[in-house]
Amino acid sequence: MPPRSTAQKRLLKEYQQLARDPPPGIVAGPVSEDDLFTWECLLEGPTDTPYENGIFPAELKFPQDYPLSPPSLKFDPPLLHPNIYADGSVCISILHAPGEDPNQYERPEERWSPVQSIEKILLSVMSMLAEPNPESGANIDACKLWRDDREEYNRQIRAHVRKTLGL
Amino acid sequence: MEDVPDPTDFPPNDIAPGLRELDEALRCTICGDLFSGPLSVACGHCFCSLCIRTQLNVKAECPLCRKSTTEFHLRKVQSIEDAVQAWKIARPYILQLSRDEVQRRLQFAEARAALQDVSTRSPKKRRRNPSLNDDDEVIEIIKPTSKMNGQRSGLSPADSSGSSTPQSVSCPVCQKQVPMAKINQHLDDGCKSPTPIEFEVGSSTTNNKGKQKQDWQKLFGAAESSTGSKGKGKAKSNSKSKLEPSATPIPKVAYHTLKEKRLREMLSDHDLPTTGDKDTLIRRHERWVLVYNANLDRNPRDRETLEELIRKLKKWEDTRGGKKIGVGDVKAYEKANKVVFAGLIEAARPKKPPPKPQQDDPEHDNIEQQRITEATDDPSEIQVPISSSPGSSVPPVTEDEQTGMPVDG
Ligand SMILES: [Zn+2]
Ligand SMILES: [Zn+2]
Ligand SMILES: [Zn+2]
Repeated sequence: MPPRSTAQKRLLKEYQQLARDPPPGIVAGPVSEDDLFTWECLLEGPTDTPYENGIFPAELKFPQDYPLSPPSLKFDPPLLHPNIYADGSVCISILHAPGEDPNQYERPEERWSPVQSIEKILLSVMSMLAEPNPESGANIDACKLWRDDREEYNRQIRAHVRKTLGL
Repeated sequence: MEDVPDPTDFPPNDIAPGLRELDEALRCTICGDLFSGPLSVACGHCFCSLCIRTQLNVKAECPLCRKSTTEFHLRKVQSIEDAVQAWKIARPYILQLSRDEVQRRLQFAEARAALQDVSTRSPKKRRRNPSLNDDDEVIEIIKPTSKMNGQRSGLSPADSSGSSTPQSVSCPVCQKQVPMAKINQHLDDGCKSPTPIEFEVGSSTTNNKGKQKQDWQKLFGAAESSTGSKGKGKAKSNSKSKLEPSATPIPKVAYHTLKEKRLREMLSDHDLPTTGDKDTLIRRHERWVLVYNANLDRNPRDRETLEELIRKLKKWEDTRGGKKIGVGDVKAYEKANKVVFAGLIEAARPKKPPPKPQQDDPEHDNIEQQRITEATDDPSEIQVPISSSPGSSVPPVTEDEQTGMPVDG
């Protein structure tokens, strides 16, 4: 085994900690030992939200200079949510490096810093599912639906959840 | 997946209070490793030298609390470095102790469960023999264990009634003989009562004692060497040419003012490859300054050789290419540079002293400062690339006050 780079060592450490102390509703790990820079995640929909009972697969992609730069997170299949782009990419402040703020709304203390962790990212995504942030909207249609017709928004998500569960 | 050391190696707080926190506190929050050349920033948070220097090039703030800070606030934290040094030695030993303790508790819990299991499964017996007291009940439960251990097996309820000497049983956890009346209390105390009982010394514990002794010797060896000016620690078997203790940091460079030709000269001054476009040259030199200066923040005994540093620079370029490029490009780059680097690493073995910048005129063009001057053995010249006070323009030259670095123009 060739010596691991800083990024690889940190990813291994984070994987080990997540495996030993998994946060509720979150499963995440590298797709293979050969590629530590791509992770598969399974996120449980938070209770008391339309996402409840759903299990949502997502992919984390890490840059070679992790943790200097943040990873990107993409739901596959995409998920209807004001802060998720139509292609499934998640847009929340912890995934944005300081200086890049597509929405000009983010507080600097919420942005990525190398001391943040995969666990913190996934926990942020869980709370994003529970509480959308319409100010940094990524999906205009979802934003409108969420704001103007919450009932229909909830119905569409529940339908998606049932479909993914094969019901 | 391979195992990497991290705080969750230790049992959680209810079993081993504080051990995870201790291990965590001695780790850099950027890389997750034990601190290497720890430096503090303005707010007092601490990081590895290389980690924080790299990060400050991205953003001039503390990655933990985001308080703004610059390279001029960096201070070496000697006490933390010493603590890390000792913890590296203590860690495997403490880890083994805590694992033995977990094992012991598991056995204990199993034994208790077995006891409870038997006593709750025999209520009828108890009712049918109202004369039997609790001690007798215990005897019946414990007896099979005593037999298995080939120890006293002649216990019977008749023996115990009216006997003046307390009957003893073999504890299912520690196998010691314990007075029957005290067995529950003994288990509650974690096998510590009623008499001091030696723990069974397993082979792992014995090994650890031997290892501990060696490690102490190592610690003493290392401590001795750290007081001398030569960085030849016994703790490290690797006695290759460490960077001279008198080596000084490379000043920062205002790259945008430089011609490509000058960049190549600067790289070749440090015996680094001069291949690639201007962007690549800049990134290479920038990284070299980081790696080189961070190495000087380590105790002399922990420093890496120039050869190791160049190897690291190569690895960094191989994985990141000094710029954001795809995997295919990296392969091509690696191929193109393999020979160059191999020669350089060879050439970097025992070598002339590293370049020493002139410190007299920080306003002067930074590049011109990189003149190779004769290195001195005077330990008072050991310098770390941090300033004694923000914005000081005349860097002091003593070790205590520490030296300043010319600002990026
Ligand atoms: Zn570090
Ligand atoms: Zn701080
Ligand atoms: Zn015992």
